[in-house]
Amino acid sequence: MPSKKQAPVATPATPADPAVLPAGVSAADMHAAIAKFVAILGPQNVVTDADHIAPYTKVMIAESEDLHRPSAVIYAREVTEIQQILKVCNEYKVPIWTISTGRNFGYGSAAPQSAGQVVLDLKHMNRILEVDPVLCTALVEPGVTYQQLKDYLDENDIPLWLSCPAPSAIAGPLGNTVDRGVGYTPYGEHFMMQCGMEVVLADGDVLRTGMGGVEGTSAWQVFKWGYGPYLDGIFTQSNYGIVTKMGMWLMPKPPVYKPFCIRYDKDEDIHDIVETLRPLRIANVIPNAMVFANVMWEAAAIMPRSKYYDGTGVTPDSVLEEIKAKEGLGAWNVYAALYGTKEQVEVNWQIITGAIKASGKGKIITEEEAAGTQPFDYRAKLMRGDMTLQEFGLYRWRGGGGSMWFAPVTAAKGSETVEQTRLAKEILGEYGLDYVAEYIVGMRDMHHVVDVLYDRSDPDEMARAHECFAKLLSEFGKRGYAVYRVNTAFMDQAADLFGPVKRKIDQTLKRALDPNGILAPGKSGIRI
Amino acid sequence: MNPRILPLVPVGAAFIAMLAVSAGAAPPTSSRQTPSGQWASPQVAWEKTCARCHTTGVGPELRARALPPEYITSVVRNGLLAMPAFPHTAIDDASLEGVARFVSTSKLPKPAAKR
Repeated sequence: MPSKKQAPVATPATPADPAVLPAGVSAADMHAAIAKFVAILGPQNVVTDADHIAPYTKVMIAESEDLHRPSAVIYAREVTEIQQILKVCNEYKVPIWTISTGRNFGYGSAAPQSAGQVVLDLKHMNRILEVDPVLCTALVEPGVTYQQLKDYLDENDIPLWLSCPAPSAIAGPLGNTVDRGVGYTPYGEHFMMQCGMEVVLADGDVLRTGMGGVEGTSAWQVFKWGYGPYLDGIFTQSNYGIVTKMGMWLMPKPPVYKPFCIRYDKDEDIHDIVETLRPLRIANVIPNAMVFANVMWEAAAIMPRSKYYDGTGVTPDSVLEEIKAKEGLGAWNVYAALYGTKEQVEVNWQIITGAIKASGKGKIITEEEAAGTQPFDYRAKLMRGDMTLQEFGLYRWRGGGGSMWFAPVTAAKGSETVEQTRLAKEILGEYGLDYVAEYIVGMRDMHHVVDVLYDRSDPDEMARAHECFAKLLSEFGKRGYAVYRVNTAFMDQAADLFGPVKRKIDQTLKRALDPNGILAPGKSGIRI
Repeated sequence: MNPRILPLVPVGAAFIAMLAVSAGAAPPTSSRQTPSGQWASPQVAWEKTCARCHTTGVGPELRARALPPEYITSVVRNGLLAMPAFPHTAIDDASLEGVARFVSTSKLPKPAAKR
């Protein structure tokens, strides 16, 4: 359990004045605010020195770190501390950018949307407050990682499974869920499986959503809607409050788990993949958030591009054909799984294999046939909520540490995937960048996730990547496609795609709940 | 308001037939990484985080290279290209120094004997 008795880190008793300031905040006010933060948290929990700030400036997005450099970082452990911090922020109009584990690589990492914001790092708030193995629920704080929760379940022999994003071992459920991230199990739509929040509002009030405000309730983690307007949604991808506790549903470990892959040879097969598998997903024959990964995504997870191609620019199609042949990868590779009793799995397996056979395309690969090889092995881990970082292999595909997720929402129709795939590949190609993509299948939608990979150590390539990303957003937008989430460099452009009325309502709520605009200004394009 | 935050007590619970749940009481919090930033041992930190990339081919092999501990700590704190940066809340200075020494003096595991 976190305690204020932690060994102090080596920091000066009084932090130096920050090297950068938030917009509109004077050096004198910042100095005074820092002094009050120190009074609340102690000097070891208020840092401004370069050594402590450095990890929060490491970004993968195609912008200078200077645009996202925090003025200070503060560590809180208790809700009461956050309440006091917010009082100071309101007094001096100091903006704070809250992070939980700060592992949102490719979406902005731990760095704030604009320079000078104070990072409020809640990693020390890492208590697993409750796990109920009867109702299959958990209540966690922001700093809890998936690894920590997994260890807890294992150590206590609780047969519940998590649903994690690809960087499962170091990310955490609260941060991922409030940014509406997804995983790969039947519980892969994480916000759908969230139930109840505690939120510290800008004025210091502590709100418990859903049933949480009812004295003595036993239903906070089991009934999402509560009474009256449902509020949880406005605290996701927003800057209206600081979520300090979150309830979530966990999946019972099934008696039988059967992951499988279906390999398709041709790029154009994406149409028939969607048409064949959508009915099975909607009917819940395939219950999980399956993925359709293209050849470069598959290859990137297991090797650098240089194994087959030493050139620059777009990886030639001839090279991709060679990779497919020699590495045994498809142009598209479906990963899905079945969960349940032996009888349930057998019935659904017959339905799926029958549908694939009837479609006349696709080669099914079972776990036994894959025999522990990658990328099947890590996909199988993700679809049971296990810990892996194998997909970070994407970052070594071209090297250079540049990554931005371009993730437009797609209706689960073959014609739309063909159009989106063509358009993304065309735009990326204009800028010499690869189409490294997968579709993550939701209930009726798909997240078309493209990792815009580039060499961040090459200023020219970084500039091209930035321009490319802007064009992806605008050209997709012209055709009615918009992203479900975006990195901190493009939040305003993405927000514009959802129309002026949406932006106005976002701002109206912001002004009502945070009139001084101290909470994460710029998040999702929202400011006062 | 009296929040209902209870320790985990699954005693005597009834479960549906497909689940085989242990009925023992469990402590309310995990012991793996508390307080945040402190690790049970350098080896645990290595296995739970570093090794997931650096022994799987995702990141470069670090073992048996006698890398200077100061270099390791610098890369962990600042990141390097695809390598993320890890703040003090993820691993504190004492734990990081332990990991750096552990990696610096590590050897590659012996290959499994062939039958």
